[in-house]
Amino acid sequence: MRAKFIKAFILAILLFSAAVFFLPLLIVLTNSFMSSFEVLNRYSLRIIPSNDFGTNGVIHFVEFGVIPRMATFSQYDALLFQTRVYIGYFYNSLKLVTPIVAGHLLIAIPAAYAFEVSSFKFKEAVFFIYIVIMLLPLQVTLVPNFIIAEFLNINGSYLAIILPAIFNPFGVFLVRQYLKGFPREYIEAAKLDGAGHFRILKSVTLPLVMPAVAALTILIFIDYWNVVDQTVIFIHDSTKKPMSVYLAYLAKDIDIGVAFAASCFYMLPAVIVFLFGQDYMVEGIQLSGLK
Amino acid sequence: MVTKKPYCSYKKNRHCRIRGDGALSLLLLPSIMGLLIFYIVPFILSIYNAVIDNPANRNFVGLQNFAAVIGSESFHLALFNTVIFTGVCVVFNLVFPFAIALLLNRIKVMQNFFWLIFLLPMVIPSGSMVFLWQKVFGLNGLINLLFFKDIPKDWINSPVSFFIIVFIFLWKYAGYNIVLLFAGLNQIPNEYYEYAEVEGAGNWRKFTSITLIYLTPAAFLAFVMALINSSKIYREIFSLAGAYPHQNIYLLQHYMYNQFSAINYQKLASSSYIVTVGFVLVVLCLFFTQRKISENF
Repeated sequence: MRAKFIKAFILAILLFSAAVFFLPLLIVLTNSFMSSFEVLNRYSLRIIPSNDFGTNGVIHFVEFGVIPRMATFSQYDALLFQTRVYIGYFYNSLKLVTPIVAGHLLIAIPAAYAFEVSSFKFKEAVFFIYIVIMLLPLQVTLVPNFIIAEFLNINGSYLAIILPAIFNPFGVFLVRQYLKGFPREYIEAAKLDGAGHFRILKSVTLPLVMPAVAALTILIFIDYWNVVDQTVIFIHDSTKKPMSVYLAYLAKDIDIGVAFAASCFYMLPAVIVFLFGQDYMVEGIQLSGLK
Repeated sequence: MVTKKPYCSYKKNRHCRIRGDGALSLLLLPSIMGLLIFYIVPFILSIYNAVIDNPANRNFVGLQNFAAVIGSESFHLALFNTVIFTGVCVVFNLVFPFAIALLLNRIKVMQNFFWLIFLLPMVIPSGSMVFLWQKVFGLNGLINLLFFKDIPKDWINSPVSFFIIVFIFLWKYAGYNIVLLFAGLNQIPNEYYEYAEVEGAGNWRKFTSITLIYLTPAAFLAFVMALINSSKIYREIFSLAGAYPHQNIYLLQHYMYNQFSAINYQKLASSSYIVTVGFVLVVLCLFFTQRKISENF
């Protein structure tokens, strides 16, 4: 009886924390189905005649709510069909993140395989350098990125962000961590059958490391979908900025009527990727740690 | 994080070795070349920038640039804030996830549901939450509505901004450490607890002598992750408060990124060396502390 009570109590605490974690997202999601007029009524700073309660006489305070007075897609309609601005920035984000994810996988998986099966004497020393670079904070690694971008004259273009991101050591590290639990006999057997390294990688290793590849794809995608630092440094042309940076300007702008829909629109790809690959992501996080 | 020994020792076991290392080098080469070109070589070459006076004159000035960076007030402010911020964030981001992981480990129900909720904030782009946070902490926000209706303030541009950023950081990255610590807890064999029970150990004793001890490796890792993640907070600060935030949340990132826009190579190179050395020292210290602790049991 007492044990049951304790369990229920613990569950209550957990559910409460979960609710606190989820509430901000729930508000963003449900409020995106309000009409722009309602959003303005609820969140505008200025006192507007149609809604003057919740003021102190000078400014109008927010009125948070989860349920729209009338659910509508009008915000999304305004966002997606009345103007091309948001689609444009969304497209910028896509143009940035797609080559990064593809390139990163293409470079990291073979490298991780080579690290794991190579008999090269100093491979652990080289791998240690990979780990050090992986651990360095962004503000440090951005300096060499910047210097080489200036040198190659790609500062200002997406390449300045894409190329360093592709060669970031994180993927090599993660896939190799996974490969460590991988039965060496498979490779031996393939070798005996006369397969070369390319063949083994493609037909034996790759199918077996798919969970790690999925985890890597998700982690890289969500990281670069939300790219801010590099954009601030490398992208100066405001029309080329990705959605991540643009939304920060939008929120301070007057266009608050579509702010929630824009937020949802922007987070949608990351959330979809997450929902489909949640288990892989959990695995990836645990992988980045357990030796 | 530490690399394990290879599956089998290649030197001793001949049969383990696969011939054709040429193909292997081909697989590894792109990655190493990229790392050299975009990270290592420019980093090493930038030492040149750190010891000359300016790109036009190119006079050797020794450590003057380093001294200038270390002596500058904005660097002090940035360093101080970053250290405090990292410290506070790391502590909170260990204590709270640890509590949640313990509770989750205790009941073990609806695990997937809780993973979903706690990890979701991590995948949400910073930009998507800006508007909401502004309406919570801003001039006409929830905090003012509830507590300071008569004298509302924009808390994002106030000394309190520090705690707002800590709060957002925790909301966003706690899930990562919950997963790590939960996995660590699950790795402790149940038998240990059963033996302890037989020996008559109480709950508290079991917690301090088994849980805390055997969780050290996972906790160390969570610590490192919290450290690394805390350097990603620039996104939140930038989204919320722009490139020039209140001086309480002026971090090293702001200091460095301002040198970028000024294209001041001298300051950039020298400050990046200073930060790198500092960071590597901290990580090495942590690493050896963890070694020491692990050796003791």
